[in-house]
Amino acid sequence: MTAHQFGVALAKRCEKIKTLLLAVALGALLVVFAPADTAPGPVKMPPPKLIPDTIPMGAFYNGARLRIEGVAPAGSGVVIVIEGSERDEFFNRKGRVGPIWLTVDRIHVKHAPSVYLRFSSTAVTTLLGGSEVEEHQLDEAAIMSRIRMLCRCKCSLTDRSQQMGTHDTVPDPAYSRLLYADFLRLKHQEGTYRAQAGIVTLSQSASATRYAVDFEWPRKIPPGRYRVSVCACREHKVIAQSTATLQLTEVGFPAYVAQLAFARPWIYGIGAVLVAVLAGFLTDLLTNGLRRKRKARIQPGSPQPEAAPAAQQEPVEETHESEPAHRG
Amino acid sequence: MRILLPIAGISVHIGAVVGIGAIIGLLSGLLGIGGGFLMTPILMMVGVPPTVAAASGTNAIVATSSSGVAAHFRLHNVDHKMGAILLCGGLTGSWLGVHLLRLLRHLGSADLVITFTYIVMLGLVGGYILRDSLRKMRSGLIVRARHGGLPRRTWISTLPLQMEFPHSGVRHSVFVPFALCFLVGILTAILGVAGGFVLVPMMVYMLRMPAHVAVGTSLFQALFTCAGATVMQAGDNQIVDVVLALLVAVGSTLGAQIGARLSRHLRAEQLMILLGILALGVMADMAADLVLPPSVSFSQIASLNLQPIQQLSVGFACSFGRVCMG
Repeated sequence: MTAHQFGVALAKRCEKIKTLLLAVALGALLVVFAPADTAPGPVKMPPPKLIPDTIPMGAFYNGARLRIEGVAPAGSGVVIVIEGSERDEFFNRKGRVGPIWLTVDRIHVKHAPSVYLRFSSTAVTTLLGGSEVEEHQLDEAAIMSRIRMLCRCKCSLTDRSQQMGTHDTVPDPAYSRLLYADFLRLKHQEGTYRAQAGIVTLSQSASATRYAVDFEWPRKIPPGRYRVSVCACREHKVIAQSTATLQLTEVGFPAYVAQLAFARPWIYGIGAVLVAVLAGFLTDLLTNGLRRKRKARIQPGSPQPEAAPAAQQEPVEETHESEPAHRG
Repeated sequence: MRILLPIAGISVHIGAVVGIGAIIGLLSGLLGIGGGFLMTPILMMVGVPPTVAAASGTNAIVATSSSGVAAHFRLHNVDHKMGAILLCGGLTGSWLGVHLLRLLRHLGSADLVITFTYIVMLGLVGGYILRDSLRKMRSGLIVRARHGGLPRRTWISTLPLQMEFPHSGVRHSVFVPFALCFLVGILTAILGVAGGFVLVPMMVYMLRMPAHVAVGTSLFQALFTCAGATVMQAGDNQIVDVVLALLVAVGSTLGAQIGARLSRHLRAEQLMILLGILALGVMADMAADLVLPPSVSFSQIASLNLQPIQQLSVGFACSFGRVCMG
C-alpha cells in the first residue's frame, strides 16, 4: 500500500467515526430534551403485603378474609387489581327468533381472565386518564380489548337470516359489542368480575402513602395463582407499580382426592362407583334395619327382626283383577 | 357448614347439596326416574361448573339407583331379565341417537328440532298418563292391565323369540322390549333428558308391566349405565367430584328410601298421576324458557370432547346427552 492509498483509507475511516460520534451526540440530546410524554413508565414500588399470601383450601374451606397493604409514593391514589390466569370459555347465546328464544350462536371467548377484581381508593376515572386506564388494564373495557370473541353464526344485528355454522368466525363490530356486554353481564352475575371504588383506605404522610384494603375472598373462586397489581396514581397518571402473587392451594383431603383424580383417573373412577354403590346399599341396610326395629317395638309379639326375611316382614298385597294394583 | 369440592374447586353449603339430593332421591324412589334432568341445573345454581355437575350427578345417581334397587329388590319389584334386554336396546338406540344428533347439528337446526320435539313428546306422554290415570281413578277401574302383555292375535304376538317374564307377569318377544327401549335410547340421546320419563310409561302402558316393577326395573338398568358413564367421565375428563357425588348421594339415597316406601302407600294410578304432572311441569318450564326473555343471554356450556361410546352411556338414562354433544 502506497502512502497516498493509506492516507485515503485513513480519511474514510475518520469520516465514519465522525458520523458515528455525531449520531451518538444527537441521540443523547434527544434523550435529555425529550418531551415528558415519552418519559420512562411508572417506577417500581415495594410489593404489596398479602395477609395471607397463601390461602389453604382444606376440607371445610369457607372463603377467607384477605388484607392487602403497602406503601405508595406520597400524595397518590391507589388502584388494586387481582387477576386470574387467562383461559378459553365456551358459551351458548340465546336470541329471539320470531316469538321464541332459542340458542342462536355458540361463542368462543379467548384470553379472558378467570377472575378480575378491582379495588380503588376513589373512582378510577377521577384517578387516571383514559389512555392510562387502558395501558395498565385497569377497567373492564380495557380487559375487553384484549379478549377475543369468535362466533359460529355469521349473522349481525341487522341480518339474522344466517344459521349457526360449524366453524368459528369473527363477529361484525356491532354484534361484537353486544357479545362483550352479554359476557360482562354474565361475569358480574357469577361474581368473578367486580369493581369497587372507595374501598382502599389511605393514610397520607409527608414521605409516603400507606394503603390497605380488607375484603372477603369469594368462596367460589377455584384454586390457582392470582396476580395482585397495585398502581399508585397521581395527576391522572400511574406513577408507581408493584405486583405480588396470591396462591390458593388445596390442602389435606381435597388435595389428596384431586391428586388421585388427575394422577390415576381410571382407578379414581372405579373407586367413585364402588363408593357410591356401597353408600347406596349401606343407606338401604340402615333404613331397613331402623324400620324393622321400629316395627318390632310397635308389635312386641312379632318375630325378631333378624330372624325373618324382609319380604315376610313386609307382606306383599296380592294384585287382584278387581282392585287397583298395589304392591308392597 | 360448608365443604370444599376438590374437583370443582369451590366451597358449597353441605345442607344445600344434601337437600338437593334428597329431593332428587325422593322422585327417583317414587317414580323410577334418574333425576339427571333436575340435578345438573340445580347443582349449577349452587355454583358447580356444568361439566362437573353433570359428571358428578351421574356418580350420585349410581348411589341413588343402588339404594332404590336394593329397596325395590326386597319388594320384588326388579325384573332382571327385562332390565337386561332394556339395557341392550337402550344402549343400541343411544348409539344411533348420538349419530343422528350429529347429523341434525350438521344440518344447523338441531336446537329448534330438539326443543319442539321434547315439548311435544313430554306434553303427549304427560297428558296421556294424567288423563288415563285420572279416568281410571274416577271410574275405579284397574290400572294394571291383564297379564299377557300387548293385545293378543296381533303381528307383535307372532314375532319370534317369545319369552316369559314371570316377574312382570308378561310374555313378549325379545324384540318388543328391545325395540321400545331402542326408540327411547334414540330419543334420549337426541333430547338429552327423558330416560325415566319415557321408559317407565312405556313399560307400563306398552309392555303392560306392573307400575312398581317398571319403576324398580328402570332403576336397575339406570344403575349400570350410570356406573359406566362415571368411570369413563373420570378416566377421560377427570371431572367426577366424588365429594359432591357423595353429598348428593347421602340426600338422594335417603330420599330414594322414603320414595320407595311412599310408593307402597300410593296406588299405581296415583304414581302415574305424579309422573304425568312432573312431565307436564317440565314441559311447561321448557315452554316458558322458549317464550320468556332470559336474564343473561349467555349460558356456559361444557367443552367436553367425548367419544361416541361415552356419549352413548352418558346420554342414556342419566340424561346428560346435551352436555356431551356440547
